[in-house]
Amino acid sequence: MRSQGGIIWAPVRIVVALVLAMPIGWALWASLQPIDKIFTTSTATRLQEEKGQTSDAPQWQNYERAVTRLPFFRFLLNSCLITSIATIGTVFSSSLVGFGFARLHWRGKNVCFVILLATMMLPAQVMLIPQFLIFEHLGWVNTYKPLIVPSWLGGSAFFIFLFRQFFLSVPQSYEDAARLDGATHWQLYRHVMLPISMPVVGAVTALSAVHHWQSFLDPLVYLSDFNAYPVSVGLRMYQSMEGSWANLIMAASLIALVPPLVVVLLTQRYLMRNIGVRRGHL
Amino acid sequence: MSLSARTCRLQQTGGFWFVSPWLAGLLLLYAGPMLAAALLSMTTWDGLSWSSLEWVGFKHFQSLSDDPFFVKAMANSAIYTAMNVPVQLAAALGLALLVRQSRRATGLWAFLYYLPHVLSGVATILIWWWLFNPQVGPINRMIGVLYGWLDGPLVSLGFSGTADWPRPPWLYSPIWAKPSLVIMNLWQAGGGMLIFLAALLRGEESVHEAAMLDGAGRARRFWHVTLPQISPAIFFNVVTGVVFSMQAFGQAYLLRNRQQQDGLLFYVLHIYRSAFEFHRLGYAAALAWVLLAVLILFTAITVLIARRWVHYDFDEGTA
Repeated sequence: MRSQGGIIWAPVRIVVALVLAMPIGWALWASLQPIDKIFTTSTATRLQEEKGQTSDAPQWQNYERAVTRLPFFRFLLNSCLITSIATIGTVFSSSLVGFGFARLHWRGKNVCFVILLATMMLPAQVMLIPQFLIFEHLGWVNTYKPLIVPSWLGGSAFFIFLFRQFFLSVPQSYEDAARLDGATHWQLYRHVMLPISMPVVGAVTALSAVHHWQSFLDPLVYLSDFNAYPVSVGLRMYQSMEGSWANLIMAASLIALVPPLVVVLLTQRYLMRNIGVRRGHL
Repeated sequence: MSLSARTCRLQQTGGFWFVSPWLAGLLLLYAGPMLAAALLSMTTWDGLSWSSLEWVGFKHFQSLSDDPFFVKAMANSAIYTAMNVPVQLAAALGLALLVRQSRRATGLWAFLYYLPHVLSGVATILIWWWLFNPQVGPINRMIGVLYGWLDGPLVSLGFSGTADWPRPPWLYSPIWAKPSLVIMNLWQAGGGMLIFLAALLRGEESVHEAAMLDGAGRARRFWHVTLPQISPAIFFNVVTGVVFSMQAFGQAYLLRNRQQQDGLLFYVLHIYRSAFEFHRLGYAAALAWVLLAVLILFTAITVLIARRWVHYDFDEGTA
């Protein structure tokens, strides 16, 4: 019964995957074309081809031109810096807070947990103006602090929640054994809980890194120095470059996609485990 | 006994420090800003000099309807949300069911379909910007090729040719701009798919088999077994989808142009422009409060309606 359905749907799956790959494929094609070939309609191109005016050779120098036309490596470096510091902060602080909520008892915990869930519901864009007011008052505008410091203060309520759920599922015997050996809260967290929570660490690392890499509105609002721009805001500069350079824009965009791609490829098993896909399935 | 008593005392004192980063964040990132925004929404601050600050009370909220951009932006966001959420939901569920059909490589297909969601950002928005170009973009070129194929047979059958058929101006039209974004979002439906897939994989096979033995066909099993089983996932995707669509910013900011005649003037873009282009920070704070109120109201209504159709009893004990 099932296998029969599988045979029917297998080609559909492949077609869907190909359709999803098409935008990237087109961008790749465009990034390797001379600009006149992109910006001419098909008939005009055919006429030029008959006259032998266009070449079919891939224009690899487009990539070189794309990264030299604007300080692209600077943008990449800035993005790497912001993303890595923010991601380390997110993993560290959200696991710490999640541990505090899951395994420790303190006054006001339940009230605090309700507040945590409430902030999870609070949309980020709504907080943009209010947070801008505070950061401006602190003199943090035009620094990376508004992009980084929040990550060290618990990161996101959702990540705290993920860690809490995981730590709640750890058997009490683990904790008792450590306590009998005289472990402090910190030692319990650092040497027992954190090492066994690697699946959550992996997933949170990936999701947080991708989030910070793609973040656009925050750096747009807080940074005005061109040289401090991350890739997301830097790419926007290509759009407003003089003249139309669709091939260079495609080249720069494709380069910007590589880091998030690498991150999710490295952490795919942690990401997929959360949906209950068993190991044998991958 | 003495151990647990000691641990208890230890835990009373220590637990606080572990959550202190979050508590600090709560004050710095939520409580403080919201208080400041509440006060500021009643002033006319331009964000630059304190001399511009003047107390106006609830004036901003009362004069919202006088702001033509407010009405336009709220309508744009609402229309876009109404188009985007159902399409996203259908695509995400379709992908999840498709992936579910593959028994051996579920994880592989799920990962492949999930990839575009992860890659989505400024880079992919710029890629789509070119794909949608009405003259030279691949989408309209493909439509042109398709029309070319149809032209011959149609004319030979006595119909008029495809010359008059529409080639959408996509992002360069007030009508097509929002559907363009909806199509663009289809590409990243893998995020919602993952939620549906988790629910489908958790669904109990035994219920399906029982229904099958009772002679329920494919359509009936889907309607009466599958949909109730994944109803918590539908609920989650509807709420997050609406909140996400109502907050859309990046696409509208990067893809707006004159020809759209404010067709992509979304609400958060209006907040951004009010604050950072027109320097009306007090007014922008008021606008943010209105959005928050709208979203809370929507979520509350959805939760009330959800009680009728969301079934949690399939889950093995909700935490």
